[in-house]
Amino acid sequence: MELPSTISIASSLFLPIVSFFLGIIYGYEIRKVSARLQSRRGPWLLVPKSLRGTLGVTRLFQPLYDIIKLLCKESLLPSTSTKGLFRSSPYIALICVIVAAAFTPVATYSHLASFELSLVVILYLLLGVPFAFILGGAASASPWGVIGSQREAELMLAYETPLVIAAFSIATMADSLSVQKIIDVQATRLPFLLLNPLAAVAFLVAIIGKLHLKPFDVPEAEVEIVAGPVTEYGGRLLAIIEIVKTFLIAICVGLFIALFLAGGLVPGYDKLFSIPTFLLEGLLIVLVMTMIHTLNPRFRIDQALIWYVRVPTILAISGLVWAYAFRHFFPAFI
Amino acid sequence: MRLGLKEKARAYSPWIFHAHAGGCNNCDIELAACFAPRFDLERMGIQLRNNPRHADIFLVTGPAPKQIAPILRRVYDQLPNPKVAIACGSCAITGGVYNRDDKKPNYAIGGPVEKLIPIDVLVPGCPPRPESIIQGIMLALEKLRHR
Repeated sequence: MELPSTISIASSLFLPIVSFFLGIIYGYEIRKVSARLQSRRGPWLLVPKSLRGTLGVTRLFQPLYDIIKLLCKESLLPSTSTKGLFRSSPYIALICVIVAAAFTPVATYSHLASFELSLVVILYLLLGVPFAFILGGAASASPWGVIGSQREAELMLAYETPLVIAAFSIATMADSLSVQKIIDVQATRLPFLLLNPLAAVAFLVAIIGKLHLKPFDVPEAEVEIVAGPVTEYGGRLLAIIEIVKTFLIAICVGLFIALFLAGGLVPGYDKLFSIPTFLLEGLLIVLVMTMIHTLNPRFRIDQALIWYVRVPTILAISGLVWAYAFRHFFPAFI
Repeated sequence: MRLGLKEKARAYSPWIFHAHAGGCNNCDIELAACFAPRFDLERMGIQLRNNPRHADIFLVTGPAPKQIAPILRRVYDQLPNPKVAIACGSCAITGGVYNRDDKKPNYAIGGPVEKLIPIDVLVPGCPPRPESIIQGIMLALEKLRHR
């Protein structure tokens, strides 16, 4: 690997900002689409003309307004909490997620993604987020926080297995652990969504668990355990957690596109053309996830665990077997 | 009207915490109607949060019986600043049907809510219609913006 140039440093600083704004647009889409499916309006895309004086022109950046509002509020510390851990764990998650965002290619553009083990680095950094949430929830000394942390730990064990196996079955097919190399392999041939659909489905379901969307929002079950690990967080610390969630959506969707849809590259077209296709594919994936989110009730934690072992893990393992069989029977293809 | 980014964000994404302090549950049903398809408040970015630590607006319904009064104060203190409080419905404002005669006050009522916590906006009605609740929230936002 050559020494990092000024351009690569600049791009790795710039990428987290891009994926933050992508995450905000995806977050808006989740709220808007789920509202439309419930026959509500959702946050206005264009505010009616008569209300623009007080309500602004557009609510496309609604998640951003939420974050700024929370940043301007005071944050209360519960007197019984372990203060250092409680205060630092959102920042730990934030650091993990920003570094992971620098590694995740946005429309094939990332200098760090060409590093030989970038896939492993991204998966490990994403693992840091639930760990930080578990620490924060347990440190808050609130029963809801502790129950949420416990559920988060159990759910993490369940979704992390299919996520990693599905990602590695793709790495097996591409014969590389570098995200950039996986994209390049797909660019000349077919995307892995068509070559290994089993792993794609397992990966998508694992992402839904990771983002705490509806059938698997057990750790944050509102109405049931208030807000799980984030119950005691408010103000600025909650804003950091919201930022982490925004990043997490963008990274998970970006990773899916990189692994299964060639990072938006279309064979025969220029690399620049991948930007609109990347956006379109991202919006489509979020649309699918939002539909699942809106149309499903919540699993109990034991049901979620058993379901994760029964369906996505089996799918991911058969995807891995399929990847080895593919390599054996079509060695010329790889 | 030009707003700074801070005031803008504050006015554009208020989260409501609904405190049910006794009463007949009718105000709660009207509040639920505000978030249902017809009056959908999420159009304006307003969300109902069931956690006082996440909320900006404290919305009280009901006459606040003596048992609930100290808890109401405690929950109000759990909202991080800046915050505003709305008393929604006749019961929260005066005691309503639970306090019909001022000369013979009801022995069980610890309210009206204004005696317990600083209230910024009063929404009268028994129950108030969703339109008036929405107007009350908009008036509360005017105050929240300058806190």
